[in-house]
Parts: sequence; structure tokens; C-alpha cells
Amino acid sequence: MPEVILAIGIFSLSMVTLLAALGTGLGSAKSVSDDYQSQLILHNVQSRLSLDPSWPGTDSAHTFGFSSTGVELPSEDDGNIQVRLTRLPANPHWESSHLETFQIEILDLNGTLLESALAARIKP
Amino acid sequence: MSVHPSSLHNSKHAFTLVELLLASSVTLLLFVMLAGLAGASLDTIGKTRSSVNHHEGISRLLGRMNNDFQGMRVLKDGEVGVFHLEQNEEGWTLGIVRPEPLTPSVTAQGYLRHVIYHWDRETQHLSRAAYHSIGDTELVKGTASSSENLSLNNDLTRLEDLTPAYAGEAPFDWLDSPALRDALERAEETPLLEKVRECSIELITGSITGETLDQWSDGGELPRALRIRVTLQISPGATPGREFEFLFPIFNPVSVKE
Repeated sequence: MPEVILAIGIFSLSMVTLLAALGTGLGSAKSVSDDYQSQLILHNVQSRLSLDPSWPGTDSAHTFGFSSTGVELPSEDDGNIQVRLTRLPANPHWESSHLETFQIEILDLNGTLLESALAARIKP
Repeated sequence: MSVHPSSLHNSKHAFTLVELLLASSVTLLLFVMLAGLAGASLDTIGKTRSSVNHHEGISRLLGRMNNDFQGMRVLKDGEVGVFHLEQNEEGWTLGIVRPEPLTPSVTAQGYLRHVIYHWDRETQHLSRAAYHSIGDTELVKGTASSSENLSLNNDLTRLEDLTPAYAGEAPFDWLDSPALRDALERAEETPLLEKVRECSIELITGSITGETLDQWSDGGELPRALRIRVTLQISPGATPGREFEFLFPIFNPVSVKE
């Protein structure tokens, strides 16, 4: 009987090691995938900001839902990526006060920050 | 008193049938559980790898377009690069011509950079071909031969004259030029994106939420932006594919007056 227990133990240990290796591979692939997704979404948000002066609206903060493939979705709860846009207060000492600046934050469904960037445009 | 040899062997060196069955059952149970987990992990890894490959391709496309369109945005004296788009059921062809580099005073040659993006529905390839024309018009030949002449190099009207020569009465003949067709044929062997099941381009000219165009052949103007939707095949026969969308600003050109 001890031999049987030993065999099962070794078998389980090798399987667990195999699964751990798979998990590590999966984690690193997901990290690369997250990086590409957030770059694509950041590109789309920055393009939209530069092309549409009425977007995202006059409120100081907005949240949008995006698919991981860059498509803006109707509601902030749709999709698996959230984009938070915060209008930064104008700096009265800054000469370019005719600019409006935004902080762009890209988050996954767990609220983990994937990417953060600033964008500026000429006020409409 | 003697001990039977076979009974000694059985009690000290062998497993009973029950032990063997128990061990096999436990091993099988563990194997089934772990195989299920490993299978799920491998499946997720495959999907993630496919997603990464697709995002890599899209990222490459964005980078290329960004580089190609950059020169269309700011040109001197209100002159813009040439932009052309035609779409039909077989696919689409997008062509641009722009002077390169942007500051003509540093070039003695007068390059014109022609770029074609082409999506072919049948091959499902999205390809890009670039072709630098140098000295292939009489005007370029005339100026290139005097490249040592500093006053000519600083003549900023030189390239302004060249672009309209391509966008003149027969604006887009260059799309069918043998050199560019050859370049595109070679490019199709190593496409930017493969397995592009669907790909559409919308041209935005006014409001971003307004009407869009799907053709463009005005050599004197540029659209404000492109919206591109690309559906990539995930696996053979699988529907739907993975659909990407991106917005690409071209902007109305900023005129730089000397």
C-alpha cells in the first residue's frame, strides 16, 4: 500500500507542476494581450477626443464600456474593458489655458488599471 | 513443519487484486480530473494566443497607417497629399501619394511616396505596398538633375508642383502603374494581415456621428478620418470572427505658410 500512495503522490505532484507551468504561460500571454487591448482602446479614445469636440460631454468624469477589440459599447457595464475619462481642472498659470486636458484610464472588469494616459485638445 | 513457498511469496511480494483495483481507480480519477484542468488551460492558452496574434496584426496595421498618413496632415501652402479609396464586392483599394520627406528643402531628389493598402475578399489578405517614385516624371528629372543647385533645393514650390501632377486630369492612373502593381503583387505574398474575413472602411468628412462615405477620389481634399472594421477568422469555419474597430484621424490639413 505505501508504494501505491507514493505513486499517486508522484503522479499528482507532476500534474500540479504541469498545471503551474500552464498557468504561468497563460498569465504572461494574458498580460501581453491586455497590453495590446489597452493600446488599441487608448488609440480609439484619443482619436475620438481629437475628432469630436462634443465628446465625452461637459461633466467632469465619464465612464464608457469597450470591447477588448476597440468597439465602444452602449453602456459602461457592457464589454470587458472600462474607460474612465476625467476632465482635469484648468491651470490658470498655464499659458495654454485654451486647451482642455483629460486623464484616460483603462480598466479591466476587476477594476485593475491597465493603462493610463493624458490627452489634450483645443477647447471647442 | 514446513511453509509452502507460494504462500510466502503471496504475503510478502505481491499486491492483492483489491489493492491493484483501488490504485487503478484512484489514478484514473486523478487523471480525469487533471486532464480536464489541463485541457481547459490549453484551450484558454490557445484562445489567448490567437487574441494576441490578432492584436499584434492590428497593432502593426495601426503603426503602418500612422506612419503613412502622417505626411498627409501638414503640407505647405494648403496643398495636401492625394487620397483615393474604391470599394466593391471583391474588396477595396486605398491609395495615397505624399511627398517625402515633409521638408522639401532637405531633399534634392523630390521623392513621391505612393502607398497602397489592399484587401482582397477572396484571398482574405490585407496587404500594403509602398513605392517611391524618383525621376519618373519629366518634372522630377528636371529638378533632380539640378540637385546641387541650392537655390533650387530651397524652392518650396517644387514639390507643390509635383503632387498635382499626379492628381491632375487623370488623377489615379498611378494606381495601375506597372511598378506599383508589381509592388502590390509582392506585398500580397507577405500580407500585413491574413484571414481577414470582412473589412470595411468608412470615410468621415463632417461630424463623427454623421454620414460616412465609402469612396473617395478627390485629389484636392482629405477626409477627416477613417473608421476601419476588421473581422479576423478565429479558427477555420468558426463564426463569428473577432471584430476589431479603430478610428484613424487624418484631419483637415494644417496649412503652413512660408
